[in-house]
Amino acid sequence: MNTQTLSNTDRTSWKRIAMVWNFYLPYTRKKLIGFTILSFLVEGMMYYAYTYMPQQTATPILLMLSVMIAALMSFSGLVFAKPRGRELQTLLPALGMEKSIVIIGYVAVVIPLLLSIPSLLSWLLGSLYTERNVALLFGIELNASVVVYSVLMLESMALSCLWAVLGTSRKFAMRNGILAVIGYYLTLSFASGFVTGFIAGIKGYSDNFMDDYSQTIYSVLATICGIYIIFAMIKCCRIIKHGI
Amino acid sequence: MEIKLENISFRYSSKGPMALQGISATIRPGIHLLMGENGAGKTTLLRLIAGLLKPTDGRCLIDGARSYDLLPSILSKLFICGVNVDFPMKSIDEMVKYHAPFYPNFSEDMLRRNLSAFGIESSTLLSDLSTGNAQKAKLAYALSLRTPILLLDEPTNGVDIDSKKQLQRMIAESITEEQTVIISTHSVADLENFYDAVIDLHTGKLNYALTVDQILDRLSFGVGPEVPPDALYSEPWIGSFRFVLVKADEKLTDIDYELLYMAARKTKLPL
Repeated sequence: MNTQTLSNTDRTSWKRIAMVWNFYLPYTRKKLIGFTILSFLVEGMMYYAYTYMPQQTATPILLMLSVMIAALMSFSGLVFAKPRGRELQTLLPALGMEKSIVIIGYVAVVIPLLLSIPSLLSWLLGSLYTERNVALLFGIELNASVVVYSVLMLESMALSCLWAVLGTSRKFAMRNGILAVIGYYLTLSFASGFVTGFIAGIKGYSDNFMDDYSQTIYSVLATICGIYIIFAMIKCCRIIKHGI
Repeated sequence: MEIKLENISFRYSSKGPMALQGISATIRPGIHLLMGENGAGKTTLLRLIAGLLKPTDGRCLIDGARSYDLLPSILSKLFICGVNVDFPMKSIDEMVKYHAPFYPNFSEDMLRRNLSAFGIESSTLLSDLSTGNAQKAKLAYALSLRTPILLLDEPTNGVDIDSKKQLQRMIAESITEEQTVIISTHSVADLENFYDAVIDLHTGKLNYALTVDQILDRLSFGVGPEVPPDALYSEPWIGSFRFVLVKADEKLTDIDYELLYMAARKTKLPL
């Protein structure tokens, strides 16, 4: 039982969150700049492919670029795999919550936002991505469930990477981060097949099965990802506070 | 600041052996020598005090707060430095820019002074320094943070003889009376004659935790051509003998830490 009452220093402070962000800048600065440049570059390439190439050529290129953006986001946690100073990071005079806000915020909010800025801009300018175009390109009907599932899937992959990186010894942090993303993706693919099969078994398979039930399937998968995200975040927060 | 160890036990895995067992002590400001053989639990104890490990039993309190709670108010007053503690930044300059702002007592003047005493540039990458020089740079930085609690784990590892003397002088100059410094070492002769207290661990148990004055109240140390018949422990030493006796008179002697260490393991001392 803690015999000391919580002093003002031990309450969450925005100033200290800014200091923790500053502390991690030597780790993240290059990535932040690199990711911004890369996301604009990829967006430019997508624009070029979409505007000037025939659809048969453009679609695989656009898919490839989308996968590249997804991979960049998923592996963003690798930046914390640096083999230095784990003890002093744990002992950094800030609350575990403040460190978690910075580290998880970097992986789950900052990097996704950076990678989305060009897409958001082009969407806001109304020139490139309309619902119809995305649906046409990727062969799916874009609805709320698909969007939510896609976002949660990427977030959960990124958090898997972070969890593995933080939770393993310095020597294997990078390797385990990469393996975690691959492992999580394969598990999710398996879960996706399982959920689809399960619903098909209950409802009966028909030619219009995906049209009829895609929303249900994606909702179930989004829920699975959502639960996993909460679990992974709790685990990450714990490791960030106390170390391995 | 006061560190209170309340019946601390620790094991690294649930079925593994106890690394520490039933350690109780109150550690007050001063320079404390934490000694013990390899595997005695010195590093484990320092990590428990820092809050990097959670005691299996008991608790470690720093000014009444559990160290494992890792409260910023405590963390900003504590720093651990040692060969197994890597710095998170590439150079001391980066540490000053990104890490030191968390420590309100940090003195850049002291850092520059300490680094120049060792002849080390703050901008040099730590990875470009030799093991000994990197250790010296880390120690110079650790001292300049001026935290009320400073835990130094084997600070003289990899440091040459000349630098050990410099380090001793630096610690003596940098440390104030209000600071609690615990220096863990298995080579007790490295930084002699400036400790205020001794904590002796043996196979995970506390042999004793006493101030130098308390030890000298009970024991005296001597060197002579013959071993006195009432010596508690003796060993040959450069053509003569050095020995430990129960203190019988008011004559002042210096502590021979190496002899004290050996005597505590070979015989039962009245401590």
